Amino acid sequence: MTATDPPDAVSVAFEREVLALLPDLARYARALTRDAADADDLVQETFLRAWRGWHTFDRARELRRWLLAICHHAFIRSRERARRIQLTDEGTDAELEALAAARGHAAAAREGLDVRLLAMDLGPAIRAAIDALAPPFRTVVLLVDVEGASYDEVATLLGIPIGTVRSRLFRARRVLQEALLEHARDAGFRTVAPTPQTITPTAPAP
Amino acid sequence: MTATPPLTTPIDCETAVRRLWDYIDGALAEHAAVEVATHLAACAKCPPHFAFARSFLLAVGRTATIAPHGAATRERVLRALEAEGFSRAG
Ligand SMILES: [Zn+2]
Repeated sequence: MTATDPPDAVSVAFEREVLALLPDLARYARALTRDAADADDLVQETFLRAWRGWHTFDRARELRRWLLAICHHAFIRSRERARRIQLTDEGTDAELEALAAARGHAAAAREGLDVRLLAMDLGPAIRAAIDALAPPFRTVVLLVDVEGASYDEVATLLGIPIGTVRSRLFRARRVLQEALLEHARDAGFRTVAPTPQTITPTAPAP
Repeated sequence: MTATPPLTTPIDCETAVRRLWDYIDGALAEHAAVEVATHLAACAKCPPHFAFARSFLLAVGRTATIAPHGAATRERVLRALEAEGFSRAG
């Protein structure tokens, strides 16, 4: 715990470089926690840790990845305080998930669901489906499919083998795809006009 | 990087589809990716699965990127940082 005031230049750099990523962090934290208040806590915790560790940040690293890693570890710690996380994906054959996804698509295509699905405003359905994933799966899908991280980066960030990244990611995608096809099926025989991808962000609780 | 050209062999639909996500994510070794591309060029059944998977991933990436944060979060973070010696520019 250092009690010294950091030079102002440090604050300026931190605000310009690190705080500029607040929208990214807020998005990730919101999707991770599924709760506006928890997300706010997590964002604050992440930036506090980043501020404390800013002098150790290796300029060769990508800042956004560094912050995501801090955020992830803060999230894990906050969850571990509540309860132990059960992992149930060991031994999954990742490629079987790809096969299952294609089979699901084939079945849906026979009903014309796939075309209907892609013409719908999927925003709310995708958010709900991601929210419903168990945390280990949600984390991987958010990092790869939303934040654009590679398998390697996620493996390093989460400290898990790359095979586990793949199996979690592929399973998560299959589950999401099934949920969305189910959504299209429910929307059923109502005529769904193709709509632009507009989403009403949920208003943050005051 | 290998000095020898990658050996590719014809693959069937199941093998191609097993590589679906790795292929789309660009995570396959070069020879494996070439095998999938070759299969897709000649197969009538598999390309729709790959096309759907791409559209699906685009939809996931696009719709989940709407940030729900407001100015209130930023203000709260700034105050917490100030308590630890940070000074804001403004
Ligand atoms: Zn095929």
